[in-house]
Amino acid sequence: MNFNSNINEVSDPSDWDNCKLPSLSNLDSLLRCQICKDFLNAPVLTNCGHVFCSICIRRTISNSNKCPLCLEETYESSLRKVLILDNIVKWFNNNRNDLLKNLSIDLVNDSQNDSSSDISVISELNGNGNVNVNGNEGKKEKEEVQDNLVECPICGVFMTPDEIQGKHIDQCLKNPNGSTNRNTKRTTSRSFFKNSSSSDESTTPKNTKKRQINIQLQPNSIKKKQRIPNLDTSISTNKLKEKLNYYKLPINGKRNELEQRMKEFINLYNANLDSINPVSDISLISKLKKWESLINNNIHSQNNNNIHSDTNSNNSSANSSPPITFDEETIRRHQNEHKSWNKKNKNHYEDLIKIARMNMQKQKNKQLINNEDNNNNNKHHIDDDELSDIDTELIT
Amino acid sequence: MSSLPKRIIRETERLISDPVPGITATPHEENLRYFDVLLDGPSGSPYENGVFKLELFLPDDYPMAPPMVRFLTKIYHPNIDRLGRICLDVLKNNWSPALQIRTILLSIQALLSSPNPDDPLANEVADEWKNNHDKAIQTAREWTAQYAK
Repeated sequence: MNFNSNINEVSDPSDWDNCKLPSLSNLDSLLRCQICKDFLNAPVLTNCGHVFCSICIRRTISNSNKCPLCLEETYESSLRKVLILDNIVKWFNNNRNDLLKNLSIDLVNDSQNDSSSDISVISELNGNGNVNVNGNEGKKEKEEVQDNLVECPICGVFMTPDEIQGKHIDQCLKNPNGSTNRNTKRTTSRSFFKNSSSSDESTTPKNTKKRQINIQLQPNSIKKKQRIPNLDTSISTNKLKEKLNYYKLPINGKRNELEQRMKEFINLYNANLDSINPVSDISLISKLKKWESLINNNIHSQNNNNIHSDTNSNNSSANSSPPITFDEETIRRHQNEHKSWNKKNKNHYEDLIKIARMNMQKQKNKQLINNEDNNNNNKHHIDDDELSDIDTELIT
Repeated sequence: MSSLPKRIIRETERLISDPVPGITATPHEENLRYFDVLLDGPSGSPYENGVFKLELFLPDDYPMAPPMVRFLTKIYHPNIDRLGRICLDVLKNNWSPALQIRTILLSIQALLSSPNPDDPLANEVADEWKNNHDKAIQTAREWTAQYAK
């Protein structure tokens, strides 16, 4: 499983297989879209009760009106957003790496591990004194504490009743976050996450704030926006251009390119309205550009690349005439992005291929042993030679 | 090679790290959308003990469009023609983006276990299958022994 760590960008439910709680892989795969296999982004519910990313199901429906999971008829108008699920997925995705880190089985034994994390919590607390350990951490802990301490109703810190009634409550009312903290040595589940994510600047300071604001609430600006109705493909090209212009989209290209562009923008736009934290129209337009340059790229490489030939499409896409839409610079940038992605992951791909080839060879060897008589064609022999080369490489 | 969607990378990784028993799929070095597939004939079928070679290609609009799959090994089957083309609903009308390489290859393996001569692609084979079942099975077995190894 060691090659999983090579591509951090691509997460997979199997990442949990070697952690202390392997069943988390079930949760991981349940929170993924069955179309893109990535975490649900702006999830929507179909009539038949299935959930997909809004953009994925919208693209699917513009191909055919069938639910990908049960093939029941599904229409765009019946899609409903599921905001709570969006929240859940975002939380899981944000905390995934920390969870994995904390649940990984390392060589250090557990007791040592615990004490070290205790120390780090203490040092963190000493460092910036105002870490807010809220009281609603679960019953067990409360019971432990209740003997002689009570919880401050405002900041949730445990202390003696005298202290709360005296100075603390006034302080706390003035500045709920700045209260001093006595009950610090306990490693609570919350400080567990705080501790682990403290390196991640973006999550720690906002944690408390985020928790209160964003649950199942979309920003007000999005509520005013209307969905764009589906494109009526019978409208004249001029009308279509008007429409594109209205949304500040490019109006160059052939008729079917215009249609495609409009359709994809409608999908992106409507899907954005299903998201718990939607992006601006401008970033939608840049997403559209990215999508279109990808499509154009693909069309060019497709021409040179059919199923039965092994042409090297690297050359073909570089030599092909520039795509018709969008400025060349963007396209070149995207091509470079693709190239660097391929370059970056070249080793990983090679590893994957090696492993697969080894499996293939194992299977072949098994076969060869089973059937003594040799009826293989020349190509087989070549393959075998290649494979044994790789094999020896791996052994040495 | 234009960009490879994350989904394909994920599927490839999964196919290799957790392979389906009796199925291997290996991507080509030059084109990661093109896979060499080895498929074991299902036990209890006339294709038992055979290992069939297939090619699989993921078109640019995958997963909105189904993968293209073809047998390279000669096979005697009513739903697979001389050129290795396969008549299977999930490869055509019933394709869904929720399906994947893994499930498609399993479907093909299942097709070997239960041929459907009422919806044939190779008419002669289908006729033989319906009218002279024992002989058809015999031929399938012979072809498997001869070609699928």
